[in-house]
Amino acid sequence: MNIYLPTWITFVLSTGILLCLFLFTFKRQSTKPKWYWALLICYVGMFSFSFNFNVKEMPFQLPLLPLGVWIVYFLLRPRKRWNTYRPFAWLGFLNAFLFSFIGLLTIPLGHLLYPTNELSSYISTTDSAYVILSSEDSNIQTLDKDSLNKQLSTAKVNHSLSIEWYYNNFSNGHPSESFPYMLMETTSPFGSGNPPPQIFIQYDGKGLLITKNNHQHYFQFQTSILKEGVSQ
Amino acid sequence: MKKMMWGISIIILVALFITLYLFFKQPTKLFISAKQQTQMAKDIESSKIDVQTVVYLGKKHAFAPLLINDNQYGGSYWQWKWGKWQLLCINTSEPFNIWKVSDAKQYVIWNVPKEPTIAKSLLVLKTERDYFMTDNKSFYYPEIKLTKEIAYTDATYGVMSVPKEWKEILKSRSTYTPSVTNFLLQQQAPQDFFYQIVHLNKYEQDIFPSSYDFNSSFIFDDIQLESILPTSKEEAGIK
Repeated sequence: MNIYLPTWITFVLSTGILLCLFLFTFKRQSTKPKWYWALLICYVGMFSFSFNFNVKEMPFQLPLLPLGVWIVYFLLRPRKRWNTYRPFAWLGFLNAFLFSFIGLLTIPLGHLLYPTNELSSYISTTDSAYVILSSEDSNIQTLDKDSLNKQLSTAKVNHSLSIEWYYNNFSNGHPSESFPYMLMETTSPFGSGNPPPQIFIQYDGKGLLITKNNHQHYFQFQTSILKEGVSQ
Repeated sequence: MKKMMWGISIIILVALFITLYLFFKQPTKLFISAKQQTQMAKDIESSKIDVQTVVYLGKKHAFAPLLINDNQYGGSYWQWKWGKWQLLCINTSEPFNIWKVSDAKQYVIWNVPKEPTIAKSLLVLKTERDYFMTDNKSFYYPEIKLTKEIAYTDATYGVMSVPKEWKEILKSRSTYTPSVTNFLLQQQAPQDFFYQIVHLNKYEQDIFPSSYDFNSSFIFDDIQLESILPTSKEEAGIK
């Protein structure tokens, strides 16, 4: 289980701001309501009819109609409590905005904490890692862990040659599949989220093709991370 | 009123106890009685069924190869459910099938007299390579091609577990199944994994035995069973 840290950071941030605003509103009230009722009203106030769309592949909700506030109004108006609880209902609606906008920070935070063009964002440790042959036209090889560990921070992200790999437009001596091995059981950095990346190894051990969520990157090494031998 | 409440409570407790007992009851040996065999023959509209043996696949699943009407080989699939062995499926002919009990447990199963011309049979797991572009991002999905020789025995039937590495590749692939989300540029998502089988004679040439052709199933309960279709060496990409 690997949580996605940026989501948790934005969640904690928005909840913190909400609590501060709640306390501030509560203190300013001349007639103090019961704090747990106020909290419940605030929660109901968050219900809204919202407009959903994607911002950079991330779902975003823009609250439009304050449904929760209306519910509270219709329930409390006959009981003459509306004026006491009104600020909390609107605070809930405001909070729906807050959660949506602070949620947008998830993307830049993700890029900051786990830059997609660095190999260390996908692989942190290789203690139990191993190689399996996924296309049998190539020979069985094993993982050279020392070589991989040394190059984790120096591997360079490079332009994918997807079309060339697909049509296999290479000179003689190139195997029929450019990525005939898979790297299994590597550990992802803490907080980088599930699912773990899918990692293919280039036939000469000098490249990795990493797919994670909805992006794919090609990393290149100076020296091979494979060595001759039978897989364990 | 009080009596009725007591009565209801006792009934609920007994029902709960029976449910828990059946749920946790440990599997016994699978014994297919003569009466059951007659019923099975009736179900598949045959006159006679003989159970050849029982092959256990873990604790809660079993395959029992069948001889039907003294001349036809088939199979029956069983699962331990709610305290007893339940019949999931009967196949009246049993060339190669794959039984997906779970992601981690997949078995190749057959019950067919080996054609004398066959020198070896290869199980092939394959996906074609694929490439696509969406939102200015390009994706390449390498080909996966793995083979394993079928371990024939003297018996007509056999069961072979799918290798561990294959299951790991299948798991990783199911997480990252290529898909195209761009609605303007509809592209065909590539085929998922498929199993195939290649039969070769002693000269390493393709053969397609006619007795391995068809497969008909009578399904009684949920089961993930797929036929493995025969193919040629060239089609499977084997050198």
